[in-house]
Amino acid sequence: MDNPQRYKIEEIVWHEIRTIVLLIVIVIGQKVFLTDIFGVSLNLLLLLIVLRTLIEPIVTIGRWAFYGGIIYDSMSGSWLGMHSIGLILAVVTVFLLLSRITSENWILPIVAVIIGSVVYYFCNALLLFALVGGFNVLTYFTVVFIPGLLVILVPALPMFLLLRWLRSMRRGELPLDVY
Amino acid sequence: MRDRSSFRGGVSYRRNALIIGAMLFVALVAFLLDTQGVLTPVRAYLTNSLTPLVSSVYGVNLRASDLLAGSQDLQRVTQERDTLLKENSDLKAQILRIPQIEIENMRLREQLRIEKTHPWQLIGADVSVQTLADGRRIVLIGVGSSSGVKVGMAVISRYQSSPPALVGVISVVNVDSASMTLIDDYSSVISVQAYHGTAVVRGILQGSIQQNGMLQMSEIEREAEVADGDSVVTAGLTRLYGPSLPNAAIPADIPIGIVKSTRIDGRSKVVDVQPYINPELVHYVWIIHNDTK
Repeated sequence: MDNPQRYKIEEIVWHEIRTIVLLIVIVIGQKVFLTDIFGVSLNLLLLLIVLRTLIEPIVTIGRWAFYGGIIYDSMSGSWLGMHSIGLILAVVTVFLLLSRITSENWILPIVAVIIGSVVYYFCNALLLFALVGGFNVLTYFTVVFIPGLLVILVPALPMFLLLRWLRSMRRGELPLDVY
Repeated sequence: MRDRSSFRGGVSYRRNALIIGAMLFVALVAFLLDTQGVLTPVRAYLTNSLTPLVSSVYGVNLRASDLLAGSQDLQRVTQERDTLLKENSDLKAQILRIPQIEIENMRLREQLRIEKTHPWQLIGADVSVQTLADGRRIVLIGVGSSSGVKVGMAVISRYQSSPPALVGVISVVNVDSASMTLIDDYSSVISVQAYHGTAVVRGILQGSIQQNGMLQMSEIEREAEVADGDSVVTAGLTRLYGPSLPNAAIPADIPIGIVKSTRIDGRSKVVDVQPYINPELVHYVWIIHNDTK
């Protein structure tokens, strides 16, 4: 007879490994293939995490933020946990502010990406400001934050629609749009 | 089997907050420890583990970029090859044009020389087609009324060391072409004169296909002094006695040939004339469109 608890652990382990592998693929793809769009890197990890916060349970996305941040730190040479903190705070903020709004609203992903990006880049700037000498907030704002936000806004809505369509296909739902 | 959606979303809000808070706390602790150098070996291990994977993917990406760049280079090389082929074709055409230009230059110089030594203004033309059907000797030339050619105009040419000599008369004119009746055609009738010393003997020159290119000068007085070797030229009598006739455009003193033989035919004399030029060998002619004499 099957042991439900053992079965759950196996499922959890498999799910975590699958999530980590998927995040490694996403981060590698972001670092290798998305570094030359308009001279600014598209933060695919941030985009996916913020958008999925709107349609997936927060614990799932919190794990994405944590693992994704660690993987990103490992590949970028930054301190471990630095990007995880920014991503988790972005997820929490977006969840707290927008969780009561229906995910069928098309404006929602734009607002979520703006909020998530502000929190993420603010957190990163704060940590860098605290640890790196000679950090210039204005330069970070004009060179990193503004271009990063503009670039991430472009695919926000198509990516959100794609994620929502994938979720509805997986659950057999019919998407309903609210304008 | 357990539903995965319940695994994701079936927990309470407080539990969610605890999990998220725990992850945030772990991340914060990891960050603080790493800034202190405690987790440096861990980070180095993770970096060393992931770097080969990133390098491999990056290498694939570079090769793909190189392949794409190579494809663009191939397109560029193909375009350059097509351009060079076209230039090569143009150069070959120019090289082929050089002999044509030399021939054209030679003909123009020849025309200039004739115009300097004779009171004629000439129009050069290529002989397009020689019509020898039905025993006729008519050729088509490449100029017509658009160049000022008219019926009755004399057509001269040169062949090797011959002087510029009459080869025919324009018989039909089109816009950009004209038919020329050669002097050895049986319908050709031209007033001519033969010089024998200071004496001038006039007559009518007719072509005859049966005499193998030899022309026959008739209507000559029986006592006229004509000998072999005398030169025969046009007389221009039509211009004097029938200026409205087409052949009035034929000026006098155009060389035709030399007397080959003479014979008495009843009350007149008949002279066989060997033309300077065999009209069948002519490929370029000049039309005398104006005589300034």
